[in-house]
Amino acid sequence: MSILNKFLTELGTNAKLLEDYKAEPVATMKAAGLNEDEIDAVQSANIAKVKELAGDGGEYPVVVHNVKEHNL
Amino acid sequence: MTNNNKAGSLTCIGTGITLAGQITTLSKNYLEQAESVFGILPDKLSEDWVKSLNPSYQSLQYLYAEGKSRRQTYQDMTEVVCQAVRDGKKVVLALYGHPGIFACVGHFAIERLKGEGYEAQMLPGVSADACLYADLGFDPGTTGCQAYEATQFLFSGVPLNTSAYTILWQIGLAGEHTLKTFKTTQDNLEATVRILNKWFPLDHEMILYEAPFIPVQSPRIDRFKLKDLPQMDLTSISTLVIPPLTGLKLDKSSLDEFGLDITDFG
Repeated sequence: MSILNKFLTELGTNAKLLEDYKAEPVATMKAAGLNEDEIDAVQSANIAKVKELAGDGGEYPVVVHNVKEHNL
Repeated sequence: MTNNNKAGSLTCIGTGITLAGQITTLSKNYLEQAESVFGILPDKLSEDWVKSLNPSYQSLQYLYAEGKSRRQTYQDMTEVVCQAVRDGKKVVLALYGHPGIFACVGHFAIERLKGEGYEAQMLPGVSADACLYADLGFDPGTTGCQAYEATQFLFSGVPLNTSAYTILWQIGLAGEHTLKTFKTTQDNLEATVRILNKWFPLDHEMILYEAPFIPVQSPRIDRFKLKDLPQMDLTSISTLVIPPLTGLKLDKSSLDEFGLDITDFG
């Protein structure tokens, strides 16, 4: 896992880190070791870029149902 | 009926919507202890996190294919999971959100395995609607709440209860029935407005909601009027939330059945 990936995962499970991030996002990301590109992507809410930097090659299908699967 | 001589078993778990933090304690423990983990997760971030908990993780996403019926894909996914159980493994199937809501593979696998005498169970998870109630700040118990997959609602002609909240999942696919695209059209959205206008005025407030997948995201909460739906930017994870038009009222004939009167309620 990259540092960014570890940070995002930790952010989802660590209440203190999450509160620190909400209060001082840049300082918290710097303290976690994120680089300038990663911090910029998060700061600008560019989620596609955040995922790309975290090694994510793109979204998987999230469509789970189609009308042909319903009992109509 | 289960056969204890069969060593393999299946537990279906939900990983929640937002990365890492919405899995239950028990589900996480099953995941960590499994001999074989399969998953259908929304992105590689989620997969990396699950792999960090159990390196045996294998994605089932490879079974989706252009031009292949999703029904066949779901059957293939079910068979991969079931075969691992038949091979004697303690298997976990990890699905994002709740493993049994808008997700058929877990249900298929449990039914098939139980029929073959194996232990199989599903544990609840945090679903998109659980996130929605928290982020939008309404309690579905206050007014009641009805939820449909958008196209299911649009094609079936079912009536809406305007005194309750309405949730239409996958509004970004409204009226899409070809299985060839993941987008709807302007014409489909205009038809959606006409159908919803049977129950709600064109200036009734609607909400577009998208739950965050990663913790640095905020939920999408866009408020707009019904007539403006065709101009909204919709994605495959957009959900349409329609607040009630009217409040619930006491019904005299129903109260009569209980020997009660409206005055009993002050």
